[in-house]
Amino acid sequence: MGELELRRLTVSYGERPVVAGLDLRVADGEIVALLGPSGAGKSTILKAVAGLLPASVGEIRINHQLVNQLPAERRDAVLLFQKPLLFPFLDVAGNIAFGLKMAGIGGRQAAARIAAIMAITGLDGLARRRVHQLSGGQQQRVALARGLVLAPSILLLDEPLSSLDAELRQQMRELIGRVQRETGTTMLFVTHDQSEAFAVSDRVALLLAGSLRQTGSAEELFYHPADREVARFFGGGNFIDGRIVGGTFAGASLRCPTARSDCATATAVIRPEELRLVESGGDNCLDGVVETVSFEGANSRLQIATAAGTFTLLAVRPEGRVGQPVVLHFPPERLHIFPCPEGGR
Amino acid sequence: MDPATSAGTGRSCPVRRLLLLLGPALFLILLLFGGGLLLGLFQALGYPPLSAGSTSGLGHFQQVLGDADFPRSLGLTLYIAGTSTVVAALLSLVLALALVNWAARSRLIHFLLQIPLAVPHLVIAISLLLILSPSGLLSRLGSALGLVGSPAAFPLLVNDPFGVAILATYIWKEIPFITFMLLAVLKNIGSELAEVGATLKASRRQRFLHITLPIIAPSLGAASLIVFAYAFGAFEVPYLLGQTYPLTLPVWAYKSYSDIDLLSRPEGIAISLLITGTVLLAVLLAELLLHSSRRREGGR
Amino acid sequence: MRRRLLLTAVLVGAILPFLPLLLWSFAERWFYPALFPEGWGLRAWSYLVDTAGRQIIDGLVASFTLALATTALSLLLGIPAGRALGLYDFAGKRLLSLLLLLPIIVPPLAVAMGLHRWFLQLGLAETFFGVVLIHLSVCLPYTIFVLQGVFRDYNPDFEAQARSLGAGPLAVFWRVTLPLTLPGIAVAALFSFLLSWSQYLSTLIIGGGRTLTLPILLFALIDSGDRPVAAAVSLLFVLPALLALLAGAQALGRGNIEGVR
Ligand SMILES: Nc1ncnc2c1ncn2[C@@H]1O[C@H](COP(=O)(O)OP(=O)(O)O)[C@@H](O)[C@H]1O
Ligand SMILES: [Mg+2]
Repeated sequence: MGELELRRLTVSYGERPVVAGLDLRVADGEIVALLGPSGAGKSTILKAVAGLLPASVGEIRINHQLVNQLPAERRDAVLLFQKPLLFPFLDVAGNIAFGLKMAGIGGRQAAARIAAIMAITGLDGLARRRVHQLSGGQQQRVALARGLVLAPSILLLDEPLSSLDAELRQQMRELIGRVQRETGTTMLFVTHDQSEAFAVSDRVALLLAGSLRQTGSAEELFYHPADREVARFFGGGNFIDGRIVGGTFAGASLRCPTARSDCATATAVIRPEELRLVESGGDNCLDGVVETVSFEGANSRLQIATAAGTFTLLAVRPEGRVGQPVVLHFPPERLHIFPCPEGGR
Repeated sequence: MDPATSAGTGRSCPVRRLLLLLGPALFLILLLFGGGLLLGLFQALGYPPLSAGSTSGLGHFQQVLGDADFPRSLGLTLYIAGTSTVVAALLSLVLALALVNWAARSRLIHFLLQIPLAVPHLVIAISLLLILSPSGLLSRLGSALGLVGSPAAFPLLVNDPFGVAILATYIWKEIPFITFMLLAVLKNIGSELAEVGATLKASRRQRFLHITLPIIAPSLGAASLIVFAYAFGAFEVPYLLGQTYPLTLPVWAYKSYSDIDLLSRPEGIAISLLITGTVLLAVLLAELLLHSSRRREGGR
Repeated sequence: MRRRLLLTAVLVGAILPFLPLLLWSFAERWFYPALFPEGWGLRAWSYLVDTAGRQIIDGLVASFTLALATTALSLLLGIPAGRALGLYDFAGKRLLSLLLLLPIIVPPLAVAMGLHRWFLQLGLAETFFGVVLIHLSVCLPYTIFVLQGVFRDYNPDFEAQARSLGAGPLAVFWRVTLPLTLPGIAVAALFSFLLSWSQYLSTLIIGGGRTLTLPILLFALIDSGDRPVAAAVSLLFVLPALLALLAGAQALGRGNIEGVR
């Protein structure tokens, strides 16, 4: 049972606010991924929730209880750091038992809980190992078990996979998912990797430069970004300026129906993989010239210059050569139109 | 002795090159240090080609160990080394914990703490002589405040049975040394692991007992050992500030060694070897303690 | 507030011992129970320069050349050894580093006494080189200890990079290894210098009263009971250490002789 709610949260280092006016709710049993580029303030948020940094403004509520004034050790949230940070003077079991020992829980009860958590995290047989003899993945799993054994209301994870190599990362991702299903722990999972965020979480919250820009399902953020910056973060930077009149978006000789109301300065966006090269012009087409072609393996990236600007196209197969005239097709059902900006009516 | 050396660097080097790099230093240290101790042992044992006197075998050692003054000298030396080490270690612990977040940033604190490191023991001993002697600054201050009537009424703090001035010299000199050793560890991992502890529900007191203390224990132990060994074997400070009887072991050793009677020279060497042996024993004990505590701590 | 208190305590603690030395060195007349000298003057300092000038200068020179020679040799032998111990893994390394570092802990008394007789036979006793050797037995292990730490944090890939850019072995040493490790080497040199500078007993045993370094002169002065002169020589004696400390604080941003004894 665990629920986290942040209201108008602002955290500062000295005078400088690093995170400002943040609202976020994590429901019981949910995994929310807090996604953002490095330096956005993700770790700062987790530290504030854990009680390692003071919140300068706003409320932090765990299970509806205001915890702003509680020191870290009295908050029912455990933070898992980027590095495993295992206690070097304790062995594996000693590390996992640490929090229980602090709570005065020992003996058979503690042993049973430790054994159970070690089984879940795949650490069977390593109880007496010294921590410097463990691999990176094992160390991170010990850190996970050390937090989970306390059965916290909220588990805060700060890029726990970023120090692992690709294969281990995949395994850990699955492990965290399984642990979440088996224990039902509420988790706030921080990452800078969008595919990790999508794969692990129920919902994604995108943080850019200290403020939350959009919260929703992975598909929502990916296909229906709230604004240009969110779209750019997910790699979709093809913008078309235009206007909405009577349920139709029109810009740069493109048209598409929309449910949004009239707007004088509307912007549409289309993902690079949704653009098509076609033989001859027609509706929703622009003439252009191929500027660059780069083969990237699974797909090829083309920059195409048109009268309405330069567009990026991802093709499954390498096609086109530099300087070749082409016709770009914008499937209207793939165009996403941003909400009308303030004062754009 | 040094926990960091046990973790490998992961780099190897051809043996020939290693010999080239290490050989000269190794040769010189073996020659001077090992050779010095060995030659000392031969002389103390009265090994004929090297000895002037007639006593041979364990005679000189027996003479020293059988001397009625020996237990008193040993006791005094242990008392001085032990007390100054414990007091300096405790004060350093407090200082290091108070400074840990601050010292990293404050150049002034760093600079001030380094002053005692750079000043030779001898100078501090002289300064304390000028402060603590019966006609010293402290006595004058007492007189100005009407607490002390004459130098004779001032409590004996120099050349006294408790070695107050000697202890003060060592403590003043060694606090920065131990403090810096502790700060190095605390700055690196101390605060991060303490944060982990806080999120794992350890209170301030628990964090100190179960995280900070185990982390600094090896460094505190190593620093204390070095301080103890130094104080146990040093000559200048107890020579200047100590009583004429009983003598500390190093002072006794040098007095015998430099006696006009050349026959007491092997006795002086025997005493200095006993000092060496005691220090080696302390190193061994510390090493054993470290190993057993590691094994115990392994559990929980 | 707590911080101010702490700073004051450290400040007073660090500075206090210099107070009596300064007062006494400028005291002309200072009888009990006066709290401050009743007459000020430069007698002690002029005594150092004039009457005992020759001896003091000789003492300074002797101490300085000894410390310099010891430090040079310590670095010459210590840099390769520190590199080997800090940078590479090999069988028996733990034992070897214990052996090389044991002299740091074990008091030098027995070593000096043991070597004395042998040095007499070799004609090394009462010579400059003999005293350098005995100082080296103390300073070299310490130098290696410091440099081992320096090289543990050193990345030799820089050298490989320089070589692949066309630098020869000598150029690699002068232009890559040395600049990268220079702060650490400077600290090691300072350690070694200060250790040699403050040696008393080992100089006395091996030098046999011929090598009159500053500490040996200082001891004689204390026995003579002339407090002002002893205080003045004491201050002269700490001067290089304090200068080095200031220079280090300037050069390294944060002076770094933590760990020296
Ligand atoms: N201790 C600190 N003091 C001052 N600024 C900091 C501190 N830690 C982080 N910052 C700054 O706060 C911002 C957010 O940092 P952080 O929360 O660590 O980002 P993230 O975890 O998203 O990479 C960065 O600009 C960083 O430079
Ligand atoms: Mg971060």
